[in-house]
Amino acid sequence: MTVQCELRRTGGRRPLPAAILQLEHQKFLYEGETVRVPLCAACSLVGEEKTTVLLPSTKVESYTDSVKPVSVTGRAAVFGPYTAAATSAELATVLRVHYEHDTPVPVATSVEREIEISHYGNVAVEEFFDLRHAGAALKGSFSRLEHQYSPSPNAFQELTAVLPAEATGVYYRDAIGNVTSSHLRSSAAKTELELQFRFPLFGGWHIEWYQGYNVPLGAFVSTWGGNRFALECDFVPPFKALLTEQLIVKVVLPAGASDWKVESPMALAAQSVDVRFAYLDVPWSPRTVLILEARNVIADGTLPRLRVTYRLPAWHLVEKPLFVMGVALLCFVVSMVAGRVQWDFERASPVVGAAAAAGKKKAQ
Amino acid sequence: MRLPVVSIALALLLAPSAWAAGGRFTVSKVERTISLKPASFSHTTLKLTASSQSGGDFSFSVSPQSVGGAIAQVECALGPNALPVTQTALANGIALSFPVRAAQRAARARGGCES
Repeated sequence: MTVQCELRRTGGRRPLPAAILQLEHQKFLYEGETVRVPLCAACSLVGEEKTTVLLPSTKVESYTDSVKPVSVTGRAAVFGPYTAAATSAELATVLRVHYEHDTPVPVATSVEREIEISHYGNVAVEEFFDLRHAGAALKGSFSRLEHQYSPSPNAFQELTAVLPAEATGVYYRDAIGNVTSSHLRSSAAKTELELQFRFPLFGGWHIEWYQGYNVPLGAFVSTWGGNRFALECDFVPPFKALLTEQLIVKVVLPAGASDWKVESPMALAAQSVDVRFAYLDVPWSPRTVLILEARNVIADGTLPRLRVTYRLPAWHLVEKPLFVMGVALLCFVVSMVAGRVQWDFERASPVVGAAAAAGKKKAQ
Repeated sequence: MRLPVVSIALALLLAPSAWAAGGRFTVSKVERTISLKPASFSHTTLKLTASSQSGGDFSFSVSPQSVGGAIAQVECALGPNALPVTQTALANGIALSFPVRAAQRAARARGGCES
């Protein structure tokens, strides 16, 4: 049998040195695995074992060479092949590679996505980002002049969000005004939102902002027969190859939705349910908010989409208009009744009463 | 027709005892590729060629994580069939294990040629 496993791992590497000057080269130390693969106790190696580390650059500072053979050629460091079973010393030897890599390292410390479904024809998506540069920290102060002459390859000045093709009403806000420019490009397959920062983001710096858009209901929600519906949308943030340490996805179901079921594309760290009222919601029918929390999420296009199915009887769609109409009608009725009620409780005077009776007789 | 019936019956008869025995695997090839190109995470592909006489749970472990971090996603497959992977925390890492016999049976049932 041939078994193939794919693992995506966070951590395992750190910038070394931890702080660099604006135009200095960034280096990383990887030490995430052991040189030999720790197989199970019931396994015996009769063939060969080999580990290849694919590096992003050819500039390798140092690497573990205590478990021979080891070779570094171009962008590949090859450990092995080993033909004998691993000894306990070999199994304890950590694979270390120190290499140069001038690149920005965007890591989202936390992302909160809110997807609000309205069966009046719209799905609103709003996303809050707290992003940091996890590369080597900037030593000293930032020089705009230096940056104009030769921009640092380690800093990033823009990010591109890939939104659904149907996205409309795209917006973004940030508290300190660092996101100053944007470009929105729409095509048949996607909408690209390019955000540009006034100050490039260097190692150790972070930025917070939020963005949102609307899509027609049909783009995300489909009918599953009868009064059952399914929301299918991306679970991960819309930035390519972004690691998100904490992702919270809130799905706000329409008022009156019940019997919901979540099919998450990955294992969740936590899941909870809340309720919420929006404008003109009826008091007995709040909106269910499904809160899904995941950790260490990698947006590299391999995760399937999030699916939430729910039941929504058709009469819930007319509940809100009927409620508004009922309240308006009640106001009119109260106004009509109030106009006809004599609020003056003073007793009629006997003299006035006798004169009125006399006048009535005369008329007859 | 009689031969497959007999072999299936024998396999069903022997499978529980083999399971209880814990299994024994002969590993003929281990190829691990660690890609460090994405800056914020690493991508590891592990290809194992092994044979088993008795089945059982096949496992290997990953880590140690000297710098911290976690496994974000794990997907294992035997041919075209995905394997249900169990993660167990160890003192020096995380063990990944999957039942080989069940996966082989599933592969055969789907007409796969893995054995």
